[in-house]
Amino acid sequence: MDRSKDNIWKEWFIEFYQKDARSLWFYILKVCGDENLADDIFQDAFYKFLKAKPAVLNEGHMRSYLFKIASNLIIDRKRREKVERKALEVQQQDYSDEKRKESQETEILSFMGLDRMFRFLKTKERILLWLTYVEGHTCGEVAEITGSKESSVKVQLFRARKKLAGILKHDKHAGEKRK
Amino acid sequence: MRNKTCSFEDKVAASLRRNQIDPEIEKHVAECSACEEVMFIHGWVNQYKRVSWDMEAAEKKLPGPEEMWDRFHFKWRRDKKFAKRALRPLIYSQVFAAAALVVVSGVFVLANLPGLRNFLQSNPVADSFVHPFSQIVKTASSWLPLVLIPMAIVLVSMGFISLIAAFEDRKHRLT
Repeated sequence: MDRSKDNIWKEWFIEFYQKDARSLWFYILKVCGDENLADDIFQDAFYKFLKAKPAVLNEGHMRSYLFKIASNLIIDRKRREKVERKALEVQQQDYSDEKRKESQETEILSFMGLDRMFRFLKTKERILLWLTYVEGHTCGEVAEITGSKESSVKVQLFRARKKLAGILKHDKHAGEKRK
Repeated sequence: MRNKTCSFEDKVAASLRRNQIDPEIEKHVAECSACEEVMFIHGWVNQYKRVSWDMEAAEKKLPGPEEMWDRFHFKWRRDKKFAKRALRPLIYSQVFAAAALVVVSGVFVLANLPGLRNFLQSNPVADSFVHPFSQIVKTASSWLPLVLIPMAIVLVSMGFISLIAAFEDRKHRLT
């Protein structure tokens, strides 16, 4: 009986993994911005997922659950990293800091590709933007995945959007100046 | 500072999710800067995803599902073994505590129910089990209030746990 249950679970997992593993890995990579770290988190996320052995094999729910595990792991790792090397964090933080000199901004932005622009956002902002606009989750679903309130997700998403729009606008200006 | 939001934003986001933009929404977006920004960011993030997917994710060699499954089971068994080893001192103390509980319960029952004690003593087989308890009761009641016994047991078991933990730690370091 248990063996047949295990077989069902394994078959289901194989199908689920083949379908969703790549997009999960890609999500982790884009949010954490480091391939080795993404590989580690990817393994850990599946380990936790398999260990939890969810009873309901609903694909949508399981996908959200897996993204939830991955998001928590990313936030944990980033938090640990932040404590470890707080001094080096300056570059990633406060892009929108108005005190920063225009010349410095132009210099940095002129070398930015799409990837670097996205990395100017904070981890939580990247998570929100990705889950909403790439994975197509509603604010309620994102709130469930990130363990926040729906209202705070809306506010944070709004701020992340503003920040990214600001970065893109600056980059456009920098590009025009270069020309 | 308060930035502009729009009540239509959710509708715009929903239609973008469906990949189907109604003329009504299209018209609204043309007039509303907040919704225009939602569309712009949605477009940019998805363009970013497309470009990087082709460059990174499509090429990436991920472990297969069977491999992932096997890795999980290997790691899971190893973790279980570690957890068992880490909890071993607790098992000793649990066994000790359970034995102590049986003794204390027996002593308590016999001390408070003399009728039962007499009845058991009349039966030779039962008496062989009850006799040690009776001895404890006699000794305990003569010079210590019964409440002190559980306290003593707790103290002894605490000492026992720390001894075992120290022994396990030393054994672990040696191996």
